[in-house]
Amino acid sequence: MKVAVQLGNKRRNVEVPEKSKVRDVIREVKVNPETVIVRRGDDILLETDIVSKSDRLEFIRIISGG
Amino acid sequence: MKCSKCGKKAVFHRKYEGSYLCRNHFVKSIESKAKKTIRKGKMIERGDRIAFALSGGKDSSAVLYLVNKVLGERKDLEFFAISIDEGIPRYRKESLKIAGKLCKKLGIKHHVFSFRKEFGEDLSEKVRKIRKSDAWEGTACTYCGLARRWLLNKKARELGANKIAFGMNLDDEIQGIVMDYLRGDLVRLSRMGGEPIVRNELFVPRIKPFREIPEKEIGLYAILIGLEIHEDECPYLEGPRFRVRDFLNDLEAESPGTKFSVLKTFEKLLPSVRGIVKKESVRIVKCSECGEPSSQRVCKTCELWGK
Repeated sequence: MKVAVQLGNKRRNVEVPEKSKVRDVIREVKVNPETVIVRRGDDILLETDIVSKSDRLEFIRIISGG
Repeated sequence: MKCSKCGKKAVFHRKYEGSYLCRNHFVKSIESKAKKTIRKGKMIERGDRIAFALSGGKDSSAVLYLVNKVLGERKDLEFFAISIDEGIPRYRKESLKIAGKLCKKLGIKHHVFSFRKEFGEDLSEKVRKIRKSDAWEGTACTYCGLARRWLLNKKARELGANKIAFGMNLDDEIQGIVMDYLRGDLVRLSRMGGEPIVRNELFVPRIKPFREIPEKEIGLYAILIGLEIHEDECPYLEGPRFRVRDFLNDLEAESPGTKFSVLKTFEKLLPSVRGIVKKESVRIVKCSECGEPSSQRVCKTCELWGK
């Protein structure tokens, strides 16, 4: 199934198996889980939350410099 | 998953503690951790006049918000904010706007100082002019960090602050510790503790209420309390520190609690480090060019920025 991921200004679709978890999407996007917070609408998701087909996930980058 | 404290929907899994927290319990836990750090390090005391170094990023905004929330009612304390405009096109303009809005909302006086006004040129001009020349030393962060610290200390002191509060979190703190190890810089390492150190009357002691809270948790706290967050990364970011940052994040993801281990082990070693440094103590003098404190006759800021 496809899940839409917004990371900063970039948007991409990620292909993951049915009943995948947020952690699987994070792995697919190749970011360190320590550096992002994942939000679906107003909900903050845990790495163990299940994602569904056509979910739109927002990855908020947390690492900074400056 | 449900909150380990109340059973509501969890927004955070604190792996190193094995707990799940809902929105309210997460926010409360961050505020109580910061208060504990402040108390333990005697960071804020009766009569303090504290300058907050405010970039408009999540950490500095959150520390100003939190300290003002928990101690803002105290009549014997005074808070104000200082922002530095290094002159980084787009990046800083946006974050300064956020900083200004936050101060207005909290009723905190906000002072902005710029590299252009103080040094005659901004960071982007400096980098453009000398990056490829023989005079170039280190990275853009070397020039920026030195000038920023110089300016913050000078302005905080002139404005009557007896402490400067920084938003540095656990990640910043342990990156600094590891960097000092890698450079073999025991003098800097000896200043990394949790309590404000008075080194010289010209140095305004620094406090870091978030030094025991991981960066990701500060980010989530900032989101949950509704702070406007400036997500962009500085375009000049470079150097070994950022490789150390990524390395520590990789280790933390594999073994939760690694970041705390680095800090706790360092704190056990700190008395010994300070003992060694005391024997080789560095004398602080006034820079012959600018009059600011320095370990050399001419301070590094004057050397690099021609102050």
